[in-house]
Amino acid sequence: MFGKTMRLASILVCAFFIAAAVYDLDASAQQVYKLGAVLPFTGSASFFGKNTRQGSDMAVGEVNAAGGINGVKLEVVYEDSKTEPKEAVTAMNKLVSIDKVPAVMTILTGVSRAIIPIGEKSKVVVMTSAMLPGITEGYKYAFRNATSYDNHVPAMVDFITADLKMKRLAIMMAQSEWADRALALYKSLFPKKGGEIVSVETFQEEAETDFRTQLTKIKASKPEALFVEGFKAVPVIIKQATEMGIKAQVLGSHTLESPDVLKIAKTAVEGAYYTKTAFDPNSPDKIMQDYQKKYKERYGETSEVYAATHYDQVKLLALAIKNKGYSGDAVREYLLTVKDFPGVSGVTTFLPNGDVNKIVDIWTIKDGKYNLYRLAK
Amino acid sequence: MEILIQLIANGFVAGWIYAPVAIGFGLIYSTTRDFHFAHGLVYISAAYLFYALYVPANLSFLLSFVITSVAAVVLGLGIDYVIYRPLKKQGATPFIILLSSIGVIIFLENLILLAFGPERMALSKADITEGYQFGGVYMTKMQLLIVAFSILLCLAAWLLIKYTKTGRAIRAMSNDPEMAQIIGVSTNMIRAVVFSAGSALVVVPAVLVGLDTGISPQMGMTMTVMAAVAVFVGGVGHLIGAVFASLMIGMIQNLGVFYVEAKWQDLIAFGILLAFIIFRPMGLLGHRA
Repeated sequence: MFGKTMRLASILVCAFFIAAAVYDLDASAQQVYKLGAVLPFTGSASFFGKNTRQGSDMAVGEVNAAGGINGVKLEVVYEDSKTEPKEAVTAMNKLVSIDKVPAVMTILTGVSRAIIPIGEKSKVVVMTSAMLPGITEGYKYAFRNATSYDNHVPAMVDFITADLKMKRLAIMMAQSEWADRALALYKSLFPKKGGEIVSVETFQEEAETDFRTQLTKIKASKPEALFVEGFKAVPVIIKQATEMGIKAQVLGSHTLESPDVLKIAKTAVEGAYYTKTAFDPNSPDKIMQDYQKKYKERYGETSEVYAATHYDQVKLLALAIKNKGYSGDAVREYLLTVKDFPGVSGVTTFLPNGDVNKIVDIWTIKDGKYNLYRLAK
Repeated sequence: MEILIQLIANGFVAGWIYAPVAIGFGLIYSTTRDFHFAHGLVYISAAYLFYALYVPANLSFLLSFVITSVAAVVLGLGIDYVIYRPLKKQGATPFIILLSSIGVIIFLENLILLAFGPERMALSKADITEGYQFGGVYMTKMQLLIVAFSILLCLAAWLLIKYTKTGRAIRAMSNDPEMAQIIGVSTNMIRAVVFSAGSALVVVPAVLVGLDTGISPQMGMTMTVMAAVAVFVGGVGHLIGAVFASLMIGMIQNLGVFYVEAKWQDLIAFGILLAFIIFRPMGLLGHRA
């Protein structure tokens, strides 16, 4: 009985090792290079999910049409973050353990903050376009390829005080980490330019539909300007502010470019000013013109900055795999050497901490259309 | 001072949004002692159905409203006939009824989520104008309509209950269901009446709120909770109490948000409920048993 059981066991063990070896052999012959993406296809930030995916899909198509990466096809595995850090973690774990991607692209502060530590632990690069300043600090594998509130807030502060010459600012922001940070920046910069923050109100993006209580308090503080930041709640807030007779100048960020803003806020948002990553779709620059032409052919619409950002991200990551190798460490090494990459979303150079420095323009809504108001100073 | 008045005005409107829904819930609970948690589901279904008819299908306001009202009544009755009555025939305890009701609302709300997506949607097709001013206090046309219609609905409900035979039967049942059956009240018929009326009552608030601030998938659960709290704070079986409680909760919530952040609004409502349970468990208008 010792003999028979032992023989069976040893056969099984051998079979196991053979299978493992064969499996490993298979895996080392790469059939396709995969990148991961954790994007908000549903939830309040779904506008960003749609656009970033369009940008990266187009880039993938171009890379593969040009022969792939050293002859191997590129593929992006998309996961829905649902605008929820919790969901993003599940998605990230799947991409890291099952798809074994060397890099993951993402957007949104909450989501990025949740998955960057996972990337750090598993040596997987996370490249985000979130706006929280300092999001890559202290992480070797985190990179950001977009403007942050460190760029937007100073630009807006300067615009309010120097261009609009207004001193009383009210702020209404969705409860979130980036809001705390943006608010801290406003509090430190705005008074220095002679302004006063007369009221600050927050709201729950998902749960609230009636913002009149906060708006009542804002109205009582008699602001000259009102800065609103969030996602889908923004046009509703602006609408209710107008209905309540708040006459302050409406200010915001590129969230005002979401498609339903004009539908919901209609005339209430006319004349609003907002900051936007320097990205002029009508620029005569050849790179922009070519890109917009291809994008329009493929999707029937003009590309905004985040589609372009993720288009660039795919291109950068593909270059990293091609030049350095298919691993988090290789990708990371390559990204740190990137200097003046002629990206569609702007000339890109990565700083040693993984961040970039990009500039911000001021845009406005006039006659129901988005117009560039002033280029960055 | 002006800001306080504005907050009270907002709270007043909020209270009148809760009132008809609370009356509906109260009618059902006091006569049948069934905790119809899925009441909020009828509310949210009405809102979404109206949206689907009025916006994508572009039917007229009146037609959309009529279809929604009929659908709401059918839904309310349907939940009773399909879920509660069979369970009761098998001797289900009130707890089981509550559980089944929660099951219904979770299941159907998620169906709505699946069909319409998780984001808020706007119903209003009108232009955005400044609201009407009453001495520095702003109220939109929609807010005024909400108050006007809710008052009418509650008044109608009160008159019907006080002066009609069916109303008397309802009062009898809420007082003592067994005795009511003995003296010849058809409890089954009254069940159907209260489920229909209760479900019909939510349509007007649902539509008006949708037009005013938009609809979102979270509205159902929240509304059920508010309605239930209002009924208990007002005193079970005392519909006027439910109206007062609704107004009270609405105003305290809005005034409370003046001092604390908006995310604590639900907490305030529960705080009120807790206070009543401890200090006045029979509710505003109830009598000591």
